Amino acid sequence: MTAPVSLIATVALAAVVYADAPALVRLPLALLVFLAAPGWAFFGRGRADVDALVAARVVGLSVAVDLLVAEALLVAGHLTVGWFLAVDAAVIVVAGIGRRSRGSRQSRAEEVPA
Amino acid sequence: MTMTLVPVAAPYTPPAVPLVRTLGLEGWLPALSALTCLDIVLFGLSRTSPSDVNGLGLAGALSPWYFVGLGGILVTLVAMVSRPGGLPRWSMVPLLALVVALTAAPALVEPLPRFATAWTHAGFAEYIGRSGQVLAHNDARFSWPAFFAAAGMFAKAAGVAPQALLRWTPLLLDLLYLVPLAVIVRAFVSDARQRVLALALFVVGNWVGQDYFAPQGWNFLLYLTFLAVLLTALSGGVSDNRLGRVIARLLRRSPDDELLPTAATTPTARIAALLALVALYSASAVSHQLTQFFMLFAAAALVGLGRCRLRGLPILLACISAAYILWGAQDFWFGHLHDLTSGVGALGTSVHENVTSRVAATSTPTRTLVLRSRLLLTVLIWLLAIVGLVRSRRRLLVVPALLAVMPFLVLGLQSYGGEALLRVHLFAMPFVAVLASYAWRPAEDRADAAALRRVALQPLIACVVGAALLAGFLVARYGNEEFERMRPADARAVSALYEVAPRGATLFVVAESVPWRQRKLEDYNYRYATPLPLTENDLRQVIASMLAEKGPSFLLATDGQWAEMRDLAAVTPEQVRGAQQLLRTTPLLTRIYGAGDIGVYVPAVSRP
Repeated sequence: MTAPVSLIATVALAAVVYADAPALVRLPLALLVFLAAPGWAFFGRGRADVDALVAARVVGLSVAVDLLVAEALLVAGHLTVGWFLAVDAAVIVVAGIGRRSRGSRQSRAEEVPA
Repeated sequence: MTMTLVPVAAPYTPPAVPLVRTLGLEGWLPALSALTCLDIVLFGLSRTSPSDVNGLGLAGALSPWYFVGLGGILVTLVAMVSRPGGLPRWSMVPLLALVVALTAAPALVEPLPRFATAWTHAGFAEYIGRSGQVLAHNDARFSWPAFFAAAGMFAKAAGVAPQALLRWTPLLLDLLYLVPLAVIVRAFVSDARQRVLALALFVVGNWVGQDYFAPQGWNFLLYLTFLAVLLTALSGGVSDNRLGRVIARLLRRSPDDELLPTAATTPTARIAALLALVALYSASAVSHQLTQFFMLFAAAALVGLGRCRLRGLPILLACISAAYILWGAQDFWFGHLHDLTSGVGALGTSVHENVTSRVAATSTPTRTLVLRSRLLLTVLIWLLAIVGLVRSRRRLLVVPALLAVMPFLVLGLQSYGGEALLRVHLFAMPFVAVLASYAWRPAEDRADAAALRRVALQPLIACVVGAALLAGFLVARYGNEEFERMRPADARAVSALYEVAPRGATLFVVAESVPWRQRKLEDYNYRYATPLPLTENDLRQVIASMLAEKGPSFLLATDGQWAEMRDLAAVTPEQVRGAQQLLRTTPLLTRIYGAGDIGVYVPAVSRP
């Protein structure tokens, strides 16, 4: 359920930005989306599995995705916060699909007797 | 009747149990102690005034309470790692308290966020966030714009100005660094107490202050994550090539210490890890010109040692760098090719610019003390690393030893404006901290008397060395605070300048330490006054440059700039006082704003 949670956070941020909500609401949500959401969608494993390697990948990957998305939009000439969050959300969806198929491949592999 | 004497057992007396154990507080004690000490630190900071900042920087202004609290955190940490057995509950609290005490000090004491470069970066982020474009010919940093673009987007999403992000960025980054660093340390250190020690050594050794609002601070996080993934998910286990065996033989004593875990056991997991590495590297390649090479060298070292399964990884990474430099950073290298390549191989020049010229270019004894404390702190930490390496002599430590040395290769490529050595120290520091932690022998659970005697003095030595490192850190990191802090009066002068200067005007400053360029970036041309206006002749040359500009031009002089000239430009205090007097009294300039030594000036003479 990690990718849906990341996606909900990103969509919520887009909504409060669009509604011009106060910084008190937007800042924590923005921190969550920029520092955790994409990485969580790629590498988060769920509630109890927060070990250091997962946390490192979540934060590092999130920052990397932010930078790459910003660079791509800059090159494309579409660097606005709306586009940024939309692409971020798309990345999260792709990550979620990738994780699901990776998960099912892994379970199939585990079913095969050694 | 006979009486038998029955021996009466002595009344049972239960063993004395310390009160903290009775109350179940033992496991919590280090955390409670650290939080109490952090409270004292914060109290000390509330009693520290920025106006007391002197030649020793912020270290000279801190209240004695700050040092009491910091000493308490040090003692708590040492006591925690000295106990036999594992770590208590919430063992990270003392470490986090140390980070907050050391990193948050200026944010809590100074009225404005520190460091002029951070203000300039806020201006870059504001411009890109507002316009969605870069100002390619305005500054070389726009050739690696991803950080500024992402920061601009973050500020817009959060509903704040980028300037609002400056104050707490160092604390946020220093806390985030601990996450991947914990993974790196875990790859080389098996004892949990020693791991905490290694993390603490990194915190204290990271005096270079690259964690401000800048691409390199965030790129260092990418670097740590890159290595965390590389050392765990794609680790190759035993050094199985010739180079690895030769280096390992020099240090080998115990062959049974292969700690590096291999987290990615399935091909899918390994592909995911490779994609993560490529994403981290690509993000670095588009956002900072230097960090990518530290990543590349580290990957090459691990492949060379046989510690990374992906032998083609360095080539792939080099291709990513080359592709971005040829395509994305064209504006930068086109016309600057000589500047870029002239440093290659010039190691002597690089060392001279980074060390000799920095120490030589000082004019006051306190300044010399600050610079020497930096060298001493660095030497002390590296010495600890050597002691750790010699004491342990584990085969596994070949890896961190090589990773600590690899960043020096950058010195052979570029002097980076005299800053390359700072970066080398920063990028080597995670591995230096790992090695230095081996200078410590963790107390064993069931140690014999001889073993206990061997470690009896360790806590005392650790406290003394720790106190020296902390004192060195405060002077080394905050020793420039005279000119790195931003004064409210200086910020008001900048605002006044922006009020009066029309669009297209050229703004001159005498030194870099001024909170400008944080807004209206595209509206003005920004210049440094050369030569420094120390004499009337120099001033005439500066005014000639001002008059040579197309539109109107203004000269801004502020207290922060004078402090920088005094501390950084090898100008004596007498020369600075002379220059201040000259600006106040010269008929060649008219002051349109300011008082005392702060002023906005325009030429009093007209264009020839």
